[in-house]
Amino acid sequence: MRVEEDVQQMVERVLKGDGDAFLGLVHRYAPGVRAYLASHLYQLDAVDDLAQETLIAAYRSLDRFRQGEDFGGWLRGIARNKLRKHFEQVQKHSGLMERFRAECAGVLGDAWEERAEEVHGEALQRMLGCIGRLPDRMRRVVRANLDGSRGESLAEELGTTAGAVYQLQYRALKMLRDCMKEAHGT
Amino acid sequence: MEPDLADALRAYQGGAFPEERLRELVHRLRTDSAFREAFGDAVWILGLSRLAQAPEPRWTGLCEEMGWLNPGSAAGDPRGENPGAVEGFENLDRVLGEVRREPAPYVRAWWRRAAVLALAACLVLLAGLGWMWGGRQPDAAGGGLGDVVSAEGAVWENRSIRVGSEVRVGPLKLLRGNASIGFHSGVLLFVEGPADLEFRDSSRIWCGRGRLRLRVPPGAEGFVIDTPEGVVTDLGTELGVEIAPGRSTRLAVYEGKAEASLRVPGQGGVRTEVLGEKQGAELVGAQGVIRRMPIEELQGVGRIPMPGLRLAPGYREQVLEAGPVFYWRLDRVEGDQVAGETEGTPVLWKKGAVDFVEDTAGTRSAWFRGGALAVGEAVDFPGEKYAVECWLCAEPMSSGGVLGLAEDDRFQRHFGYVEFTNRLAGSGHGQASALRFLHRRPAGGGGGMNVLVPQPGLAYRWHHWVVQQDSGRLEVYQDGKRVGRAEAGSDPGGAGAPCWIQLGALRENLAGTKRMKNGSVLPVLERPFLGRMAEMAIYSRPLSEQEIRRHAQSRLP
Repeated sequence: MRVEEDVQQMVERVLKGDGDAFLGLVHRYAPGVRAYLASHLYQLDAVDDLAQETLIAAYRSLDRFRQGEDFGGWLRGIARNKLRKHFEQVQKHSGLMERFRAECAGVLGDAWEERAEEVHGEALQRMLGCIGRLPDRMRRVVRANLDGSRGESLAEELGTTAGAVYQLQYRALKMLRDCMKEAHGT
Repeated sequence: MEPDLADALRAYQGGAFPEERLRELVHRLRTDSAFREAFGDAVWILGLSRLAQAPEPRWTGLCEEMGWLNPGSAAGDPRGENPGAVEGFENLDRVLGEVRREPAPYVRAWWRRAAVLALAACLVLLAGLGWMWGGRQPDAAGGGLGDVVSAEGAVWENRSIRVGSEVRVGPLKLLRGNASIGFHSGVLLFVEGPADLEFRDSSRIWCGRGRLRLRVPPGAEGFVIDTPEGVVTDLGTELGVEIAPGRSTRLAVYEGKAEASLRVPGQGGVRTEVLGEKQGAELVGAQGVIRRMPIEELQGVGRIPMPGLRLAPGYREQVLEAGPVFYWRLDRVEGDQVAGETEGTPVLWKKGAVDFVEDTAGTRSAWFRGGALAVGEAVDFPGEKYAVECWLCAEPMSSGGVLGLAEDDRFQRHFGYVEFTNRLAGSGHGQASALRFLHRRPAGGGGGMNVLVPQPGLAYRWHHWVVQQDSGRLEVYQDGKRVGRAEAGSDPGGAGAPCWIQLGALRENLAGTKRMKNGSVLPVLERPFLGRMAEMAIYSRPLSEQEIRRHAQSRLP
């Protein structure tokens, strides 16, 4: 309740011309928007481009935000529209992999939206801490970007197979999930 | 882990699969809720882990939209890493920092380039505002744009000009010799006489004749040289220009990009050409053409010299007499290793671009060009009391870490940190540069006590620095004089605790590594120090004022 009151106050300040008040909203909600977008889009450049477009669109249409509404949900609604347009472009022009990701996003989008509600700035800090606590090889796999054929080259560096690298990554992701839950609980 | 899940995760990350296989995976995602949940869970955590390790977003568009171009509009810094950050939203300052640092080749889209240029212009404007707010009103002639940082055989038409003289809006004529002029924006202009110049503002000069070499740091892109033949605009980072009156303007791009433009005679059109690295061109105004030429034709334009450091012959012995626990002269490298001068001094390992070359005084020192030097394993650090002494000559770039003392090998948890910085917006010093000494107990990624020594004109000059702490009392000495101090409170110590030492950067970016042209893989370094460093010594006690003064006075003219 307190948070929503603060949000409403910030919105009112922005609407009265105090642009800096929007900083508070961005600070609170941008991590969730980025996380939501990052679950749909693999390329982080695209994530940040769409997150920025979402925030700009929110600022420009802030007068349409209704009092008492969930601001994070409202932002994700804008992000969802941006995503839809993005995927329309992807379907027209992109390759197989991008279309596969778009299909995944279509199937899983609702589940990810619920999770995004819980993401604030501290979540990313917590995640860094969890990554730091992974065993060496897992940490290396998580730190490496397994984009495209990177899995194969990392497998060579680690003296194993690409399949084993992805297995390791999956196990690491499970450990990170548990660590995040644990950290969230404390 | 079942095969479908492995394949789906691999495909999601760009692994190659036949279309049929991808269809199968999508079908299973749609029809098998347990599979959908497991995959969704993995992708969600994967996204979060990648976001957490990624650099902060570069939301230049949002900054522009909101008019958030003054990171110093509020004080405070939750992490303590970033003086002048907007309280509670350090990203903005980091956004601007990234924009300043972002090399031109990575500014991909045209709108990003435009945003960078717009930001650069705004930053210049802000620098001007900061100048005024700091109580330094520009004079009637237009205000100080920078100063003369070095000169060799220079004879000026205005005989009163010497090294250290302020450069203002207006004409400047170098009759012979050469000189370097450092702008407050970080741009460095090297001029070979005879040269006729007119300084129009902090990002524009006119040159009627002479040979110039221009080095433009990230964030100051868009510096313009007007010539009788046309206009040369730097898009970062280093270029040479030769203007021969009545003939042509010749341009060579050594690093980065530049744009040449000239008006076509007899019509309103303006011809433009963007030149990439190692490309040259000649602007022939009378014909309205831009002719490509080999860069070698302009190799005569001298490299921008770093000033030399000459120390008295007994300097090394003086330092050894003071009993450092670690001491590197930084005058040589064997393979990738820099050896120390005392038995207990660990070897420093080279990470990236650090060269060991002679300066104009014939002294060898470490020239940091984006790389760092770090110990290969943790060392026992003095603890409650220590002093760090070195000689620095920094390039006028954005913040760069000189020395990091950390509890981890990727330098995320500092307990001591020294950096050369120009990120002091909000302190009333505009774009002035400063040395910053941070002490933080317990070690971590935020908080701590800073001593800041803000002054303009630190860059491109050798200075002797000592930073030291004694049970929470922090002191900074520059050239033998104490210039800053602070009380951090009692120090819980840490004597004997493992310590990692790094010279030349703040920390490693956890987002990953970069592959070099030679195939080697290096960590991505944040806030690299750009400039020269010599005679780095670390002591297990504070130095006395007499010792500091004696060491500082060892510099010969």
